[in-house]
Amino acid sequence: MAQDHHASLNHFLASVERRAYRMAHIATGNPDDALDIVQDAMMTLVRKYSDKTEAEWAALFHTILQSKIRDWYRRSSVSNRLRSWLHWNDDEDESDPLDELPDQHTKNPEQRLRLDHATDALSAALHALPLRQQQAFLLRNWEGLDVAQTAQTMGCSEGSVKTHYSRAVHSLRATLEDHQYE
Amino acid sequence: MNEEQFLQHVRTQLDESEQSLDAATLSKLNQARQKALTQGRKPAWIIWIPAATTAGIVAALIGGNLLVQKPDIENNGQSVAFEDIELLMSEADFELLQDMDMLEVVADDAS
Repeated sequence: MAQDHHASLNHFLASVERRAYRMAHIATGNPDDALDIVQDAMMTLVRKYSDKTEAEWAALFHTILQSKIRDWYRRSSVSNRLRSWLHWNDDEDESDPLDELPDQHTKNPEQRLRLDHATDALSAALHALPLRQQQAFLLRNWEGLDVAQTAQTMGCSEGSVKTHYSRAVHSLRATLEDHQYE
Repeated sequence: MNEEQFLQHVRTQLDESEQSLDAATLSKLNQARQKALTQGRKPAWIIWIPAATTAGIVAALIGGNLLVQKPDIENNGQSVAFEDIELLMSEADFELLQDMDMLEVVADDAS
């Protein structure tokens, strides 16, 4: 029984890891951070919720993943503010790894990601969205969750999901209309 | 392009990006999954103690109706971790405990 349970959990995680990684990569713009987030989410699911039924794993994993992404954003924002406070007199030409962290208030996809073709353009456009819009869009349009499921995953109201999603669609269409979407 | 066509186009591109991850990334994801499956199953609070006293402490705790979560036991999700005690056990000792039948009895009593 235990072996079957382990195999089922392994199969489930294998089925979601690629998309989870893409979502985390879109959010962070950094492959290593994305991997850390996915591993952390997997670890949390196994440690705390592996005794739940298989039917519950997907919703739990989505919720955990999005929560980990939000945590990453909060830490990044604190780091950026601290960096600004500590180094506001520094030479602006000095390179700083923290410069690569996405800034929620002044994102510029061209400065963060290489834009080679339509997929990169899409990733950059998604990355530039405010996090809540990004989450709502990916969960609704890519994961196929309905409004109620998305609200539960994001920990917000259904009305908020609808607003975030609508704004995301509007922003993406405006940004991508010149990139092979016509 | 209407909105639905746009959204479908986006989904298609996202699907393609998911399927086209390089081998190095897939390998790292596999490693992350295996690590989660291996390390995530250990109890959250464990304290390393000498092997000779392991059985004695376990017996005392069982006598005190404290419960140990055995990762491989189907226990309806009811388990109690050590909240106030940190026990470190060697890997061999932990495996020994997993095999001990008395843990199944304790888990059954608790359910």
